[in-house]
Amino acid sequence: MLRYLNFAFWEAVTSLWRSRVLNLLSIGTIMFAMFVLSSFILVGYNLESMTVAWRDQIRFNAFLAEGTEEESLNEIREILASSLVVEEATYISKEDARDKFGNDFASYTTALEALQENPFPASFQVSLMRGTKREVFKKLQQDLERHERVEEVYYDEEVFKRLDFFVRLIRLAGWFFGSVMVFSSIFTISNVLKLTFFTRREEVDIMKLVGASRAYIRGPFIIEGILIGILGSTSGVILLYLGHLVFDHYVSGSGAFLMTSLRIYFLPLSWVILLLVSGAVSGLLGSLFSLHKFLEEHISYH
Amino acid sequence: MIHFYHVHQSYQKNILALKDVTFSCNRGEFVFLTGASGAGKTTLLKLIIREEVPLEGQIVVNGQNVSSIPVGKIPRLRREIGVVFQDFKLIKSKTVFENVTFVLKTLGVDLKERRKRAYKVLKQVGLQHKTNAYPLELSGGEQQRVAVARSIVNDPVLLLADEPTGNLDPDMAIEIMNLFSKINRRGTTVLVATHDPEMIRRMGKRVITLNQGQVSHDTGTQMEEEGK
Repeated sequence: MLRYLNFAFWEAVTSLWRSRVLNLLSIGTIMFAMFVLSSFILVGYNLESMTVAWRDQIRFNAFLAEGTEEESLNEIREILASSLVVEEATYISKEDARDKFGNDFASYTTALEALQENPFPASFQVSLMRGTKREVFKKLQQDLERHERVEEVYYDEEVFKRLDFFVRLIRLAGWFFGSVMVFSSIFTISNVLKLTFFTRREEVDIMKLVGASRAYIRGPFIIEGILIGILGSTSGVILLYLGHLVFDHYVSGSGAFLMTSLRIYFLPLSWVILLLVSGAVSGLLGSLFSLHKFLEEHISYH
Repeated sequence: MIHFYHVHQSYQKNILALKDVTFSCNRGEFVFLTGASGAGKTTLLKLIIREEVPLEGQIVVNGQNVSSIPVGKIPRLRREIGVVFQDFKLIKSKTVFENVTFVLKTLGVDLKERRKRAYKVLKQVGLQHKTNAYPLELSGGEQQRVAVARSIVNDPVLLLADEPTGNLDPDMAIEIMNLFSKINRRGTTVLVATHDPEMIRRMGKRVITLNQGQVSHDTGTQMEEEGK
């Protein structure tokens, strides 16, 4: 078996080199397909990691009624202090809220100045400890809402729902475009290999006549397809990594608009291996399709 | 070694390439197959290596009925037979060494042994200095000698040659025939298709003559009858 694989491998390498221009075409197609597929996976993976990180730490605002006195504020502080899961609770007065809005949205300053009264309510901005369960948060929310001066405990679950939907959409688009790309690369490999077979049909006939078995004729073609797949997907992943490095250099850390430092992480090793394997499988399928359609009649001893 | 029983072969309806061909070659025999162009010599050789399937009749080669041999056993049958094709059938993209040792490679013979055997046979055909050349860099005669070297590198039990001296000068042709005789003396059955009467006369071996697809003369049968 090892002897056979050794034979098939070196025959395939020789053939790859011999038809290198033609093979570069299929390697390029797979590279592009894998780049598109892995880009979607990379974006999906990072968005998912981001939402998981955000979800991990629950942050909410407890908005207070107009004219809440110091006594009530202390009572609310006591509720928050008695909870074991509150990591930080900051009181934001009406004035602080207006100033913050003015800072965050500088273009609205004129509109803000035109207002007769300050419409922003005072609030407590609360961060819970990482990993706090939703049930514990719900209990705290109820405790706070029971207080007559707390008007609303606002936790934007919708944002996460929308993010989840977006991540799912990105992933779905990734699979869709990825599948289209993978199929097109299988098709390309299959056709390029058909051309290779066509140029080598005389060689195949001679191999048959001097007694090479089917396995010895088919093996190199199959390995050639797999090698094209692996080379293509490896180039695709390398291209993605280079793109990631460029993005990391120019964009990372400047994501203030997302209220967090934007950092794109590269795909984990397991995903990289999966992409390389799918490249190899595409190559295998491409060569099997063309073998089935074309080589059978040439290899057949009937 | 080779037994043909009432073999018929046809390429076109109503036109038979071989008609009721019956003959036998014993193990270790040296036989010439002769006849005019189109007499059926190449067809007969193609049937022996199962490149074609006969329309009718049975063909037994080295104890195997090649008319009904399972497809999976054909490569093995062919590896037992060395063939010098009329059009040489050398792989253009492979060097002389690679062409000569291709079958040995598929049989898993290591590189050292392949080199040894290739050198030996290429020396026998006078091409030991051309191991790294490609077929298209060689003359017709040299290509023919490479084909001869390839056919004997695996020590076949049967050697078939289709006009093996057609492109060679007389001296080289005699040398190749002497090489075949030498291989024959080691026990290999040799069947040479040729229409070179001078060569046949000089070698003094059994001759089967084909005429329009039929065996018109067989000196082997004649000798047997004379023996009786």
